[in-house]
Amino acid sequence: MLHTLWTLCSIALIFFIILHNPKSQGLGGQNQIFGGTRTSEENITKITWGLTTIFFILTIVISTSTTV
Amino acid sequence: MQKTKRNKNTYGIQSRVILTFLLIILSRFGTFIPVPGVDHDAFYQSISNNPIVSFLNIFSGGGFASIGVFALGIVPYINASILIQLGTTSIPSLEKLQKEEGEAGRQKISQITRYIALGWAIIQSVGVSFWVRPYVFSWDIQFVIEMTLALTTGSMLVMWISEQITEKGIGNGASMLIFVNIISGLPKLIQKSSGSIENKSNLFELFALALIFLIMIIGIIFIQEGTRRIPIISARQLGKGQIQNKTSYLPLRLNQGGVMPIIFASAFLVLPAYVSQITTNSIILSIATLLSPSSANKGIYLLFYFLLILFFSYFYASLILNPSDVSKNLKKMESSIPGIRPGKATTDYLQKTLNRLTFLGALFLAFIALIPNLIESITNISTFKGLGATSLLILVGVAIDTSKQVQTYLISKNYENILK
Repeated sequence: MLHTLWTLCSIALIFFIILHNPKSQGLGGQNQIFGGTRTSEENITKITWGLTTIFFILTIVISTSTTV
Repeated sequence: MQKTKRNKNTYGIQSRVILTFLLIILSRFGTFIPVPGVDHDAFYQSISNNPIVSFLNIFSGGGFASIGVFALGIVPYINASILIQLGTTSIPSLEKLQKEEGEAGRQKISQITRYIALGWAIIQSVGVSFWVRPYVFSWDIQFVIEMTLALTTGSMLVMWISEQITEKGIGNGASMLIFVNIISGLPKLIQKSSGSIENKSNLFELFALALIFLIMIIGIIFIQEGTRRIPIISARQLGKGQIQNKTSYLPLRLNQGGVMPIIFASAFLVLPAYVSQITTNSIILSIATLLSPSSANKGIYLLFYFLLILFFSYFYASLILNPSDVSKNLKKMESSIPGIRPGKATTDYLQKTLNRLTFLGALFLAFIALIPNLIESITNISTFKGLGATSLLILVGVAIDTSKQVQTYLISKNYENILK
């Protein structure tokens, strides 16, 4: 039960992270510090944070409960 | 009124610094969260003496020694970036995206990079899940899937954290994370090396080492900051009949890429180590060990390293500074380099100077990279296992880049306030 929840959470997390489109240039080159974000980007970020917290909690619970 | 304005300036930078700090703590936290299903105690004991793992550990910040969820770290993203950067030179459609379509094209490329990072993370996680087979409680296909999922999610999270740092914090996210990973290995390293210091002669050696360290850092700062100034004269100045005292110049840095070529070169260097972990094919293994730092013939490794740095330096220099663009701009501004005709002659001159500078810069870098190895063979002190020249270069490079970025940000904020 917990495992399926964890699996779903991980997949959702990967999905939302991929969805997120970074505004500034990735590696290399000077970075301009950009200003505000659109609301949809903000929502994606918020959801990602939430999923991250759930993921961490679930991972800790699962790995500490299966160690013999 | 003035006071509140100044507070507003520093507030921006303060909140960014705090956010960066918190994000970094989060990224470190994740390395200690164990992946479910692995017997971590047994794994840790058998792993701590493996030199290849300790080499790999530098970049994942220790996540490899205990298979945390963030074990892969930022490595898949960096390797994906390398692939894409190399791809833009060879695949014309990618090249078009990067050079001609401007910001939108660059965003597309960065999305492609992220997909490739995901793919790489998946492949590497599968590899790791096979590698830890002897330490798993119940190794079956479900475990492989779960571990792959855990490690991939972890790596994606690290990539996301690095993007958050780039957007909302200070510095370039990936560089900062690598910086932090290297630093996090320092306390253990100091502990290990100080363990062998017992009598006074060793103390002297330690002091000599520290001195060499300092000299290396100073040398690195010089190289990173070194610029060749090309004097530029504008047509207006010529028209006035005399050359004014204040000549403007075009700065060409010795090391155009900054810290990026080094990070890429060292990420590339880790590849043979990875390969030797997953294959048992003896031919591949022998090639891989030949190219790794623990091989008997260090010369080949160092040559390989030097060539990589050279390649990436040239590559980055051509990305950042395009001589034909610069000469076009000079023409537009009605300026020129004294003694060189505008147009193609300027482009050629710039290209030649750039080539020479880049070669010199790469030469210096490689020399700096050689120093610890030289010292090691002369004095027989096993220096800084893990804190090689590469790590030092990255540390100094990232520190310089970040501090410059912060300075620029503060200055531009000041200008904004003045204009208001």
